Amino acid sequence: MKKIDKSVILSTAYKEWEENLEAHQHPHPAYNSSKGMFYHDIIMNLYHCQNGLCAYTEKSLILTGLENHCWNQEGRYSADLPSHFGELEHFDESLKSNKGWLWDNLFMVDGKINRKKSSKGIDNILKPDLPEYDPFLLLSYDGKKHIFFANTQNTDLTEEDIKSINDMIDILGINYVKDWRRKEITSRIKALEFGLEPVPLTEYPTAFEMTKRNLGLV
Amino acid sequence: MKLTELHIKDYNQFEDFKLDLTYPKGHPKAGQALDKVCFIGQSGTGKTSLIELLRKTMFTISSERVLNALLDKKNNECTVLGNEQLNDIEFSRNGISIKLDQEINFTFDRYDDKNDFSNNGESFVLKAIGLNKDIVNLLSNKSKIFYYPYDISYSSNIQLVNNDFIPLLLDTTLYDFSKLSLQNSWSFINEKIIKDRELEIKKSLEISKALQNPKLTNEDILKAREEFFNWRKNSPNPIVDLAEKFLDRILNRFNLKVKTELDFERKEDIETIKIQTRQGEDIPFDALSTGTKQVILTALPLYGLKPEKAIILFDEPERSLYPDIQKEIVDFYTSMAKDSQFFFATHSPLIASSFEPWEIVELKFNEKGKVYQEKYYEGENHVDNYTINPQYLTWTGILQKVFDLEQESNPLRDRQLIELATLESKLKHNSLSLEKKKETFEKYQKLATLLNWELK
Repeated sequence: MKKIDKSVILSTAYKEWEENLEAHQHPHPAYNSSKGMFYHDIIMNLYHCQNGLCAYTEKSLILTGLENHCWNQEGRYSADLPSHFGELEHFDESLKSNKGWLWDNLFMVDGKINRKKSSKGIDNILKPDLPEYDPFLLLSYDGKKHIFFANTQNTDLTEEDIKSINDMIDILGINYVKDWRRKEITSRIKALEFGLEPVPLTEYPTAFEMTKRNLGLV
Repeated sequence: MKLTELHIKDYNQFEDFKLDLTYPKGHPKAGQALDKVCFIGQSGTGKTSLIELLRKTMFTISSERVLNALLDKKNNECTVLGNEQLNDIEFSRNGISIKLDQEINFTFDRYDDKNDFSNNGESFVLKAIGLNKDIVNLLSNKSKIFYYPYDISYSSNIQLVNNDFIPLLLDTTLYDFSKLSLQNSWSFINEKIIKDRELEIKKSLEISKALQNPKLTNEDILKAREEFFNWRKNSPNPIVDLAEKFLDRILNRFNLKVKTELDFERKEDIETIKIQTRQGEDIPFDALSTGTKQVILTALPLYGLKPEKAIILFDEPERSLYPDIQKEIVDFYTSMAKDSQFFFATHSPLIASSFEPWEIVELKFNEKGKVYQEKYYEGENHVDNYTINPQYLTWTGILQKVFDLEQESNPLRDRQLIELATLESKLKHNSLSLEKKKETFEKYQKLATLLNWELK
C-alpha cells in the first residue's frame, strides 16, 4: 500500500467549498454518493493522486482520463467520467454522516474491497496519506504467500502495533488481490532471475519493490 | 446426427446468440461436431433453457411425420401446429436455427398469421435446407434424444409401469427421464438378461445332448467345451458386463457392487437390479442413497439401449454426488454411448474439468442483460490460441479462471495467512529466547497445519 500524496488539488472549486465548511464547522450535506455536487471532481482528483490505483490494494482502477486538460479554469472536472472500477471510500466510516465530503477521509478503492470494509472498525496506523505512514517501515511482503503483514523486523513496533497493523491489513482488504498480485509479480521476478527486462508493472508497485528487495534483486 | 451450430435470434435472455459446436482449427477433429458440450454460467444465464431448447428442436426434427411433411412442401418449408402433436413445444416467440453435421439446416420461426385462429399461438414455421429422403430416414430412424432433466424423480416403485415412457410420440424416439423409475430403467437390461439366459440354457443343452452321443471322442468333447467358453467370452453376461465395465467403477466407491450371481429361481430374481455391499450383503433399493440411485437409474438406459448417434442431454449431472464421483461421471456416461453427442449443464468445477476448453460454453450477461458466450481464445479459433484449459487446472484454478471466483478461500484464511507470515518472520529475523522460539514455532506449526500450508 503506497504512501499517497493528496496535496495536489485539481478540484479547486470542491476544495474551497470543503475548506469553507470546515472553517465554519458546518455539517456537511448528507453524503449521497453520485448525487453530490463535486462527486466526479473528487473521484478524478483522487485518481490523479493515486495514479489510478486502488488506495489499499494498488490494483489498477482506471486507465485513461487522468490528463490535466480535463479540468477547467473554475477548478471543475469538465469531461465525462471515464470507465473505471473504483468506489469512493470513507476511510473512517464514522465520519460519513457529518463529514461525508471530507477530503482527508476519502480514497478511491476497488469496489469489492470497499463493501468488505464498511462494517469494521478502523485504526489510523495504516492511513496511507498520513505524513508518518511509510509502507517500508510498517509492512513486510511474503513472496511465497503473496501477502502483506506487519514488519516484525521494525523494532519500533510494539506487539500491539503489529496486531493493529495485521488487523488493518485484513480490514482494508490489502491482501484481497493476492492471486492477481502473485501472477503479475511472479512473471516479472522470473524475467529478472533469467536476466531479462520485465514488462513494466503498472500495478502493485509496493509489493513488487519489496519482493525485489527480499530477493536481493535491487 | 450431431449439432454443429445453434443460432438463437430471440428467445428469453438470448438475442442473436450463436454457438459454434465444432472442434477448432489445429484439433485432430477440426470442423467436426463436438462430442460433448458443457454449459456453465451463473444461475439465470440460461443453461437449462439451452438444454430444453435442444430437446425441443431435436425432438421436432426427429419426427418422421414432420420431416416427411417438410420434404413434400415447396422449399421444404411448412407450418407446424404446436397444439396438434408437439404440445409441449413453445416456439411462438423463437427464431432458432440449427445446423447438423451433414450440412443440413433447420430454422424455426414464429408463425405470425393473425387471421388464423386455428392455432393457439404455439405454432411455428419450420424450414429445412439440404433435406432429402436419405436424411429423413437417417434422422427419423437413427436420431434418438435422451433427456435427463435436473429434477429427475428417482421412483423406487418397481410396480409402476409408465406406459408413456417409450416413446412419447409414436414416430419420435425421445427418452424423457423426468419420471424415472427403477422398473423403467431396468427394463432395458432385463430383456437382454433373459435372452442371454435362454441362450446359455440352449448352449448348455446342446453340450449336454452332445455328451450323450456314444460316438463322441474326447477331442469332440473338448471342442464343444471350448466353443461354449468362446461364446461366453465373446457374449458376456449383460449383468456381469454392466457391473465390471461400468457400474462397479462408481459403486465400489460407496462400498457397493452389482450382484451378478442371479438365481433365476423366482420371477423376482431378475425383476430388478440387485445391489449388495462389497462384502456380499444385499441392500434393498430403497435403502440406497440418492446419489447411488441416480448413478444406477441414469446408467441403466444408456447401457441397455447402447445409443448411437443420439443427442444426450444432462442437466446438473453432479446432483447428490461427492466430488470424487463428480470428476469421473462425465467419462462414465460418455463411455456408454461413444458415437453420440452429449450436452451437460452444470455448476460444478469438477464436472467442467472433464472437458476440453472448446467444449465449454460459458454463458455470461452483457450490460444489456442479454447472454453471450465467454471466449477462451484470442484471435482465430485455433487450439493454439486458447488461454484456458480446465483439464490442466487445479480445482482452485478452475474455480478462479473458469467459474470467475475471485478468492481462493474464505476471507478468514487470509487473516490467518497474515498471522502465519508474522510468526515466520519473527522466527527468522527476531532474536527470541529459546523458550519463546519453541513456543512460537509450535504455534507456527499448528497454524500451518490448519491452513494446510506446506512448510518449505
